[in-house]
Amino acid sequence: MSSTVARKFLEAASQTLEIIDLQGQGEASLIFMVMSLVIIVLTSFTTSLHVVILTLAASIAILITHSSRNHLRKLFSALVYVFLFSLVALTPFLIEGFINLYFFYVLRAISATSFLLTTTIVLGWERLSEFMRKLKLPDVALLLTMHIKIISVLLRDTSKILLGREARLIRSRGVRSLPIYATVIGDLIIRSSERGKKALLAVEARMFGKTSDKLSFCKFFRPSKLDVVVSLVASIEFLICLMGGTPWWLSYS
Amino acid sequence: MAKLQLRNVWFRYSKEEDYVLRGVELDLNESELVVVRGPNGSGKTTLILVAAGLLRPENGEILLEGKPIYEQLPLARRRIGVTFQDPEDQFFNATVYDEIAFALRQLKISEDKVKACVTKIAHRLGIEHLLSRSPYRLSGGEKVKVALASILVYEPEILLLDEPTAYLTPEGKDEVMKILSELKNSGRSILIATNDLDIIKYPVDRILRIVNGKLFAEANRTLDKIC
Repeated sequence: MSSTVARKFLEAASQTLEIIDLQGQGEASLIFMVMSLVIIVLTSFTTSLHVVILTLAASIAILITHSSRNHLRKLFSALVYVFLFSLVALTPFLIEGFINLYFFYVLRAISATSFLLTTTIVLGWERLSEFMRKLKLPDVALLLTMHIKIISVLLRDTSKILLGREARLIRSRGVRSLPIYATVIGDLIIRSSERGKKALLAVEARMFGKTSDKLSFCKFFRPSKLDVVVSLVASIEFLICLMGGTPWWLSYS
Repeated sequence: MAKLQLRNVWFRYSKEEDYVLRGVELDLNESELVVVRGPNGSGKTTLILVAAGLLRPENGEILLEGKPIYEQLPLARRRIGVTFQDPEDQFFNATVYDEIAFALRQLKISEDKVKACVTKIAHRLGIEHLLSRSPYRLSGGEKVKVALASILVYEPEILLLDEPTAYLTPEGKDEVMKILSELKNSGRSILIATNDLDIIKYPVDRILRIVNGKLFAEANRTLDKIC
């Protein structure tokens, strides 16, 4: 087994985290944030295919209209990874013969992740942090900002450790090389402590204690186009869920 | 009065370890460029981080214009720019542009102005062609320039630079030292920690030597060259 696949995965995961920048991409308000949360929760627990498809379509539409092409491309690469992981995690359903349910769950995971990423890209961490601060959770806000930065830095470091291992891997190849790669975890724990501290210092050195006030609570009653679209999607999905339907265990079995 | 003062500063990373800084005294004045030289592990990097208020000394105090720096944080950070020994340690943004714009975006200025400032400093350091690239995928010299740009962009009064000429070509060193010299002449206070012997050929005001955590009296520049 080569570490190339692992390194590519780490690089892609790191890039995906990095697209969630501090500033966000579009204009968004409290309405957008609350409605997005409603959509994410509804999609995560829904049994309706309509809700899942509507959420996926809405997230792609929002990204196309409010963000760059680059973000859309990275969203798709992130969704491919979610798809691959979902395939593995939900394999028991496939073995038991619930093929419809299997594909529904995979699609649901992709759809919910897609909207979560879209929301975060549009809002940006700074505004999410601001929301946490308004909820009297300033420590959580700071931790979120630090973690989102440090995690991507550590993922890149893991990739470098793997590269360093591979450069000195003279004899063992294939399955025999697995124990060598496994020791990366130990290295990473040691290195992440130091790297994390430095990343924290770097963020601290350029934080002047002021935050953006782009998430305006005064704009609550002056919704933007984005607020209207998200509210509409959330309402339709809520209605679909309210109207009920056959639970998944009856409709798909 | 000195811009930045270190008074009898003692620092160690943990109680089990030896002191890395031992009774350091340092005055950094306005329009002054001071170089601290010393062997590996002598405490140069720690000195920079402590002076910036990023590490808290066990004893002694750091004064920014006569007042303890810790009483002025985090707003004092606006007045101090720090670069790290390994420029990559300093990066945490997806693109060079975002890396340089990070500090400016906290100052409640319009994105247009942020863009103008970022472009200006990038042009000055000759890195405008790198703005859309990931800072992790640059050469060593380019990383140093991006790290410098990320602090020069918000025009801090005090610059604390750890190995700012590392990885640079002789032409690159000339460029960076010329910019630092201009900044010094415009009133900035600059402290450089370095092992680079070439740096003494540039016009600096004082050269200090740090050995085993002790900052020695200013060395005579001529003697220093001979040594």
